[in-house]
Amino acid sequence: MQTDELAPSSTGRGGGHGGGHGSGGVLNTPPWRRAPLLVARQPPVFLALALAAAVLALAAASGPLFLAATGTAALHISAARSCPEQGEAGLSVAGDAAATQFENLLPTGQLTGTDRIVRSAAARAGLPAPYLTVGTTINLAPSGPNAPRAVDLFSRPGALDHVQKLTPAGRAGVWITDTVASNEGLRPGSTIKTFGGIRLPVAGIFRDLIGRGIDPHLPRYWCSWSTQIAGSGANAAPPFFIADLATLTRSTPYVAPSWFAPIDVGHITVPQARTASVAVASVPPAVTTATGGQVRLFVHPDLGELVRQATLVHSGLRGPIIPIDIAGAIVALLLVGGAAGFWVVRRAPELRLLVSRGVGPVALAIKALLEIAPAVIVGGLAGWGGAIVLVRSIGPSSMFEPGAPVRSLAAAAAACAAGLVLVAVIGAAAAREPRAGRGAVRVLAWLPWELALLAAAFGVYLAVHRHGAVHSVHGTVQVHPTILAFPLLLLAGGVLLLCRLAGLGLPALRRATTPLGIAVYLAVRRITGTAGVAIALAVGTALPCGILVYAAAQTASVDHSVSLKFDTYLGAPHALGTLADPDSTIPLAGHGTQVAVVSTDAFVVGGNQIQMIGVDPATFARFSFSDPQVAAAIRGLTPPVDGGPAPALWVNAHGARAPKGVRYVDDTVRTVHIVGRLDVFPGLRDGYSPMLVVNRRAFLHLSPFVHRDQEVWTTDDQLAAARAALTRHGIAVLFEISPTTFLDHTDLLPVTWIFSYLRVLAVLAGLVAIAGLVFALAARTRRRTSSYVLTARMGIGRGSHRRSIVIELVLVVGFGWLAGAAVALTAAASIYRRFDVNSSFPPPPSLSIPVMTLVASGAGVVVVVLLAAAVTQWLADRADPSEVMRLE
Amino acid sequence: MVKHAAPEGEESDPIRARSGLVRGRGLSKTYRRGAEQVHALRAVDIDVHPGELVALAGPSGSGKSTLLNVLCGWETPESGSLAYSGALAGRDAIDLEWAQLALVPQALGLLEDLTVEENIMMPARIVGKVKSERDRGHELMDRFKIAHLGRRYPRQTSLGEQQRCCVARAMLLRPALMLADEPTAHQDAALGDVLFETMRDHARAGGGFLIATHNPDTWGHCDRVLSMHDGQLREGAPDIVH
Repeated sequence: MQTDELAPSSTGRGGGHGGGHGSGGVLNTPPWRRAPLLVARQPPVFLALALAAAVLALAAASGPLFLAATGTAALHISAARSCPEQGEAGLSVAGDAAATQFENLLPTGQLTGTDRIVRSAAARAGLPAPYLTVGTTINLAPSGPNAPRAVDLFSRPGALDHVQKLTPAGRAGVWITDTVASNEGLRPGSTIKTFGGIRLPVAGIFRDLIGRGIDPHLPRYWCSWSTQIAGSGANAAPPFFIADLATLTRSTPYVAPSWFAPIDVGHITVPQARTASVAVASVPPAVTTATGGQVRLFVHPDLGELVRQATLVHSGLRGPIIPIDIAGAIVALLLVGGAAGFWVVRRAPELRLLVSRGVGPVALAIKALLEIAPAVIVGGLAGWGGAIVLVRSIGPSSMFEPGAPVRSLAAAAAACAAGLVLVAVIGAAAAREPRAGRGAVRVLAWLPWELALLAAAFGVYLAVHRHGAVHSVHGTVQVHPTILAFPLLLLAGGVLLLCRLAGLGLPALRRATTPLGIAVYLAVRRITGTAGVAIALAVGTALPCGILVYAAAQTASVDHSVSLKFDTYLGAPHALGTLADPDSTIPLAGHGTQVAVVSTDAFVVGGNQIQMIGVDPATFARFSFSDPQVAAAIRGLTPPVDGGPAPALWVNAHGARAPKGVRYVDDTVRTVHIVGRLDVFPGLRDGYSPMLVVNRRAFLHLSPFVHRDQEVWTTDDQLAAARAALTRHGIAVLFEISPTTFLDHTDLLPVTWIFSYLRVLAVLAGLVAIAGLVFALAARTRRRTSSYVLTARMGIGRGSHRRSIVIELVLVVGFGWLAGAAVALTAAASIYRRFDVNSSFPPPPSLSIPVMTLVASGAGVVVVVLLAAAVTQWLADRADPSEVMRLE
Repeated sequence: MVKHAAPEGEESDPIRARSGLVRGRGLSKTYRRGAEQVHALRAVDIDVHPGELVALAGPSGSGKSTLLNVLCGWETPESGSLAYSGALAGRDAIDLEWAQLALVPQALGLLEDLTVEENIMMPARIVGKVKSERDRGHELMDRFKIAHLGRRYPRQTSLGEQQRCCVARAMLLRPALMLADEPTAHQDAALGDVLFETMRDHARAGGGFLIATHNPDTWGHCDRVLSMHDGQLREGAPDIVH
């Protein structure tokens, strides 16, 4: 019979805290020799350890893989949005005044030889065989009042496969457009005569790629030639004909050839594209040498630009990834620590026995390592493999740069090694007296070390305000790591502080709930009875929810800010660029507003270049992104009277003095009278330059040298009607832009991907929190079940018990969700102004509250609570009271 | 001092002359442990009357806990009959309230998240009688010398103190019948006497007690001693029967 005992057992523990007996001798005994095999006999322990190691390895390996995928993805996205030739290794003839009379032209007689030399040089450089593209403009002999005076001739293998042929193929010669054929009465077999008298046979007729009154939706194949095909602005292009190479070279003494090696940049990695870019650079010197200096080529910069852009995106992510990876590894290490603790609990009898025999902490640490290492190795390999599958499946790209899998394996191995060190420490701690560490733990728990995290967060906050959170390198947004370090530090410190303060209020909560119903009574007492567990669960909930809310808030704020900036840039939901006459009024019949845009041909008298737009005050506000201030301001924009000054708004002036007159590129000067000043105005297309807004009629009767784009701005619901009105009056639309096309721009990819990766961290932390919740509930299952059995016997109903579990979890997990969301929104609110992806362009950033994410995360918390409560109640219901209430 | 129970059949005992609280006849219970079949109860007959303390003695594994589990409804016998009468008449064991049938299980079953005082008052709280039974609770805590532990959690007390807390919780609402499994296992002689004296006081008021205990020093407090051995129950202390 045992007496009351609070004192430690009197069994001897001599030598238990020294180094133990000689370590070498101990390590040769069966508990150590057999250690690697022991954990396999306890499947739950093995599984817990392997899963924890897998999560750790996955978290560590994902970073290098994610990075390796971003460059490739950026390259592919850029290539997809570019014209095909921009993704190929391109070469064109360079100007050489000594060799030819005209720049960028090659004597036709040299074309065949040069082509052969280029192909040979390309093959030696390891490039795919390039295809030749030749274009030229030929003047035609006059044949009628409306006949074209010049035409563009284009030759490329396979070009005819990308037009709609209206007559059968099979003849050599020139394929002409149906427009010209119809206007000039030409058909296959007809002849076109050049100004030099050369007769070119008409081989066939194809559907015009751009016709009057038809919106040009050029196939992507022709994207590089859109200017030749459609013209630009008010300048119509000559007809665009396609010819075979022999016919083309016969038609002109000089040609402008280009060679493109089809390297399929949309399906290779950045290093491979870089290699091709370097390889193509070796071709021009080889050609110059082979031609004795007669032919000089230049390399098209597009491929190099794509590579550079992708490299910038990749390098812009490298820094921000680090805090996320560190946070992910810490979270995963917590899981490994928990699993190691689980091992200690399961092996407690043997560990206690070994300690009582004098085994010290070092030997125990080695035993822990030997037992746990197999599970960690298995889990680590699985996690690494899982990271590859995960990043391939949902990452930016399924294609990794060479060496990325090996780097990720090294990262996973390093993380697992850190996990094993943690395991060893936990194993060594098992050698100590249970009470020996309590003092240290108590001190650690009481020390407000979260203040150190908050201090670090404040330091990073100051750094962000000093240096900014983003900067642009060659148009690509680079995210500073501080924009992620700050919220992670603030979340960790803020959540811990809030939970500590809540913990201080627990005694008061306990007292306050004494008179309440049994469900609340029991719930609060379960919380206050194990406050440490409750606080840990609250923190475990707060962190992933907070990370998720922060990522969503920043993403939404950036998207919204960028959208507002582009709204400013674009001016309206839809902007259609037309080929309308600058002095004409487009009959839009109330379906849009006409805006004249002068981008480069206007200057302040005696000053710098400015932007100008001419608006129709009667319709502008209705169809543009105008706020009340803009709508009021444009009412003063009346047409100038009899050559007098034009009323104007002075926009985006940055303190520059308001002008009294405008000098156009043809030296015409017109006076203006400033009637208002604004910081932002729809249609501001250059954030650096001021803009003058006048009545559209102020641009009338300027010379054709003053380039004025005629745009039609309209809304979503009027877009179809506006296009129909343009078609009805034979006005061709050159381009159409809407805000949604802007947000997918490559330049913002680093922002998009960083916060996507941050969300993955949130999911990882959430999974760890759920695992922690499951473990906490499972560890207390027997205690909860025995409590339920007795209280049920005393008269508490199933409903009351289930309610008490729900209330307990809602209070703990719900508080965690609230704390995480509050700190996250605080972090976003304190820093969003510094997250300006284009500080040169108004308006400044605004904060968007991620309502959907808040609702979804809250709903997720509710689901977890209800599921956990249901499972806990189910386990309690299944318990056999007679077994539960027996002594173990 | 051991009281020798009167031979079976003699109804001279005034306690046994009253109508019983619980009567079990031919109770049998078998467990399967792997390939082995364990007869925990073999045709056990048992009566407990109001006002009597009955000791249930026997070595470990003899079936004492199984019998208590059957009597409180946590286990169902494979054969035999079990009937409650008197204050417990007409009810099944599992439906009896704490004020009618209270338990002191072997594993105690204290709620770890409640203080000692809150554990003791729990039965009263569930039926909404905290205020009216608070004095009774304090009285029991004083008697069991755990009043100074009222604000502590069970994990902050010794096993013996937890056990006394469990007994106090069982006696709070003055149950008609109390089943206790080794309620004095962690008590010294003096505190064990205190527990039994308190139970005796309640027995005088009409309560019945069936107490599983293998400690001969406690048999002297009881009106009868029943012995269990290998699933069989007999009147008398083990050293008399065997």
